[in-house]
Amino acid sequence: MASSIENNNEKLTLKSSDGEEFLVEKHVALQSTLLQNMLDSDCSSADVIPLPKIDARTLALVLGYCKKHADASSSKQGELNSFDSEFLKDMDMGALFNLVLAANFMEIKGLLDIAAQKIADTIKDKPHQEVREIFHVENDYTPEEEAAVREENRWAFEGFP
Amino acid sequence: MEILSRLSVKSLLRCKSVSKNWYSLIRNPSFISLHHTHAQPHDCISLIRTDNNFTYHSFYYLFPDQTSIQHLDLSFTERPVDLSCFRIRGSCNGLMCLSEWFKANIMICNPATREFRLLPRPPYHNWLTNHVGFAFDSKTNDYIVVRVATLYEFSRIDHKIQIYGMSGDSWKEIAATVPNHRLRPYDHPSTLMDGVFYWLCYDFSIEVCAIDVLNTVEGSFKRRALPVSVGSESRPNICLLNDSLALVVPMYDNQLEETQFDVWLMKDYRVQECWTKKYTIGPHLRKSASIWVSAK
Repeated sequence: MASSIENNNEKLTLKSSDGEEFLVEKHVALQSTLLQNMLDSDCSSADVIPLPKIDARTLALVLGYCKKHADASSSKQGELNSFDSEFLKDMDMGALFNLVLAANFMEIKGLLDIAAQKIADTIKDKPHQEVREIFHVENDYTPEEEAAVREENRWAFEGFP
Repeated sequence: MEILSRLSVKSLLRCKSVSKNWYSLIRNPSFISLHHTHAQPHDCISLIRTDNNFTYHSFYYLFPDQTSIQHLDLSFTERPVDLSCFRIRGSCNGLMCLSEWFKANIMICNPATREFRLLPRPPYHNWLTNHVGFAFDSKTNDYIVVRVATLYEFSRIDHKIQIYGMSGDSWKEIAATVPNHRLRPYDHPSTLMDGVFYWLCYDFSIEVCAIDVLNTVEGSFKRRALPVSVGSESRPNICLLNDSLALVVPMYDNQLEETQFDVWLMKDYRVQECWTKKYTIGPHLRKSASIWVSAK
């Protein structure tokens, strides 16, 4: 028992891609399945865990989310839901994409769900030309090919340019 | 992938136009499977109610604590044939199998993408189509359709069992002996699970509904009694519910003009028949032409 209480108070250090270090309580870090697996397999002996794919701004957001969810008891689901929607409310597309990538990499399912859903909700009623711009995708169709693909599901384009 | 798998089907179909990469991603089976996981409400039973001319369906999603209704209109213009004589024979992973009353015209349809596939004509296509079952077969990783074709002549009744595999797009006949039995005067609800094909029948000798069990792998056949006595006036249905065989018995109240549905589940169907009454649904539904239940 003594050791488990001790463990709860342990902290670990995460390092973002741009070199900033974050001191995190262990129970907050456990929101991430990636970190949980690392701790379980004792990879945590290193003093600092580098997260080379996540910049400091994104990591700060991710840890804010994890702290809220780690500290709240399960009875406060309503409070967590309103925290989640407030958390993403004014976030721009770039920040959302970074969050999705970070949540995917760190395996934080709840965060991945809400961030990916938020982007999906934003693009769901947009014409595909706009979706292309948002995702910075190059159009590699010839005009003929694009018309043919569109014809496969003509009904889905009703009311769209 | 995580983002796109949370879009509606209609938005996704438009996204196929974004680029060639996106096009192949959206058609990729593992993406489709991920999308399906995200799209399905959990712990939900859905009923499909069909009107008599088969152009309109209502889906009732029955969550443990609430009921929501969605309507599905199959009368859109892309359909290749007149659907008025078609009936739903089964549904699986969002796909539906439809067949024309007693005929050999069978199709598989994805109502979400409005895509249809008409199956090639089976052998003995001029025989009556008695039963049609539809399922995903995990052994062959393929969608299959089973058809029981019946020849009626004055002196002879004969049955042929055929299986269609979607990936090969072809039919093959399997050896199985089905005893002669007379046709019920209307739809035969049926369902397919683990290679075993079940259909409801009307046993004229004792004047109640019974269930026929055909094992398409072993070719064996047996007839089993239902847990409740159901006469010819009722229209029970069978389907799959959480990997169990489920029997849905409508109980129509003439005074209230409302129908309540009793759902029975059969456990360990291969060992011995053991039915338990699991749910009673309603009585908020009007009398309807046919009811399907499916679950996630």
